[in-house]
Amino acid sequence: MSQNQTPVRIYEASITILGSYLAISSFFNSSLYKTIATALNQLLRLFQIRTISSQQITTIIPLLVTLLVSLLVVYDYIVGKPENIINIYQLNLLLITPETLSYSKLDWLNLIQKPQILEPTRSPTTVYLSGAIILLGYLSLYFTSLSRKTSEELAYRGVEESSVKEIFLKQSALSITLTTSATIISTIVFIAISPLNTFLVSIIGQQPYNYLAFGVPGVLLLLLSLWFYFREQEK
Amino acid sequence: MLTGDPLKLTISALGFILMGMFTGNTILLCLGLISLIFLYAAIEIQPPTNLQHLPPPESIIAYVDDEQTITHQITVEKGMGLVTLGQNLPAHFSLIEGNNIQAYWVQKPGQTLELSYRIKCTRRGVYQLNNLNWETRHPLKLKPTQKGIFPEHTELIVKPRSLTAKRIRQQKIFTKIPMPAESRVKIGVPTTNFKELREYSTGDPYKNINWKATARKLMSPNSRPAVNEYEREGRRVVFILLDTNKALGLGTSLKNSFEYAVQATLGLSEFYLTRQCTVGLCLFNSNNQGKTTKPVKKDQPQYLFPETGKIQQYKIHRLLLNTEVGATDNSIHQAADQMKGYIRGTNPLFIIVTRLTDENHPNLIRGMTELQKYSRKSQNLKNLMLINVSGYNLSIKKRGDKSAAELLQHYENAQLNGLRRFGVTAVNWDPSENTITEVLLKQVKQR
Repeated sequence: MSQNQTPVRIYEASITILGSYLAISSFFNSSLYKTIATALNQLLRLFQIRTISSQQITTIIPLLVTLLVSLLVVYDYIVGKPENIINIYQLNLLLITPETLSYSKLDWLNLIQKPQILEPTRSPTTVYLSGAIILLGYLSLYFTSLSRKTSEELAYRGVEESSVKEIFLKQSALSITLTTSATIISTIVFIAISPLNTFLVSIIGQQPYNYLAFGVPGVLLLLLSLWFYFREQEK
Repeated sequence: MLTGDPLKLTISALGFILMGMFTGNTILLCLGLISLIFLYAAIEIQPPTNLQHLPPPESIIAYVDDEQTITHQITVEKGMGLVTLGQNLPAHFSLIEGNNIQAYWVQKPGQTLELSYRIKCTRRGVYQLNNLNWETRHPLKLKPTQKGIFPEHTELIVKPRSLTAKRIRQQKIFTKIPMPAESRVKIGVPTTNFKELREYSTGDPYKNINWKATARKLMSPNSRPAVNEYEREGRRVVFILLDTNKALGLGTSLKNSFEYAVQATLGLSEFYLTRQCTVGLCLFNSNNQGKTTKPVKKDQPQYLFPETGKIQQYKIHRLLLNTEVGATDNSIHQAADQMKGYIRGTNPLFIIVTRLTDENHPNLIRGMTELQKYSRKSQNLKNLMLINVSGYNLSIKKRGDKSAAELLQHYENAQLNGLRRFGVTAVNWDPSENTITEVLLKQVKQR
């Protein structure tokens, strides 16, 4: 491992271990897990198999799985390809989904009369920050893996090693800076939503069709994004 | 134009936002915002554009084995990202220092990039530098890579190295290398050096009549007055014949007998030109027996008539710059036939630069016999010189080759001794051991 790549590799390992820990603890703190654990416990007791309590599970299992992920990261660090670390994030995003969905205003599980399956257990800020860190890791690692591919290509074409390392470091630094900035801006928006909501409700809350006041800009933003993308494609 | 990555990012952002809007989930909405903000910010960054190129000089002149630095300066007027510059080296050039492909990270507009590398010119010739290729990339690869070339007009002229022979001024030292001392042109201003007595002919000035000699001759009937004949001012003629036989290709493509033969030819021509001789050059092929008298015409000139001065030196340089093995099929006979109008009566010194083999030995003997017709016989001076460029040591690749080369060199020396008996100044040159100057200096002896 070259000295110039060390800061990027340390960042990759740290964000992966942190993201994995947050995803696992999110899943074990979710009401979905509690429902599954209770059902499983009852099933095992039915067959008279001794198990540890669900309280113990929420403490031990996240630590065990995090240890497993850390070992995987170390393994990748030593023998594997660094870009494979990104595969862990797909699992992380899946694990955080139940807790994120528990904050939905649309209580769709009420349709099957089981609203307890997805109920908020932790504060929304904690859940958002967990999700934001996982997404930050996913995006930044995706672009550092692209930088790594560029470096390999340049080295294959015969560019000097010192230049390749410098380019990799600067390209990775740019992608990490951009993703971090986007996460910070988004976090500010998330924190500002609650007072903004209160303010807007005090102004337009009494108005009929107030949902449109939020819905229409949202849809317009989506359309604008699509238009922007297709316009660039056309160019 | 965008690559596939922005589409992936847009879809993931829209997925989060749509899901958040559908379920009324602000966490999902804000998570979707992360990708969206990132995408907007990243796409706003423009890749490097408007590249301005400052090329190297249009003509670079160097000698074989010289090192040259090639420098390109590129100014990036706009954008940020990766710029790759690359230039293929012409054939027979080797990279000594730096790299002919380089990548740069452009951080700010107006940044100047420098592609600089050192190359070694390993073979004579006229070369054209290849076009400079450039490539620019978006810093996060969200836009397609742009490629292009900067046309290159730089010409690299690699001249062969010549020997640096100097005149030795010590009086007690003499050389066996022949100088064409007897050869003179017929027409020229008479000098004060007495040459001979001859009979008076109409138009001779009276002051040239040698009265004492005329008085002695009066005893014989029908005698005519005797006049003094003086040496005429003129230049001595040297004729160099360079063999282009394929046998001279012995060695590697860069270091072979022919390359050294060219070097010797160039050096000798410079040596004689600086000593006020007129020098002519002719290419021939010693593999040709010389039975056909009609010379084979080729696009490239195969001979230079005897001339003097720096212009002739330049002409010889130009001719040798593009001469390759097998450049001509003309035999020595045909070469002499082409040049006879210029050499007849001038008693020139002929120098043959070749490599002796069993195949060309009889042809060379026949050719030299033909050349001797144009030379006046003299006991002290030899008007024929042969330089044998031995190439056996140049082709050594493995251990046993050395012994084989030594054996073959003994055989070569025997052939050269045969030529010496024939009345030729034969010089053997092994380029792997000596320079041509060192070999010629061996011919210098103490009186």
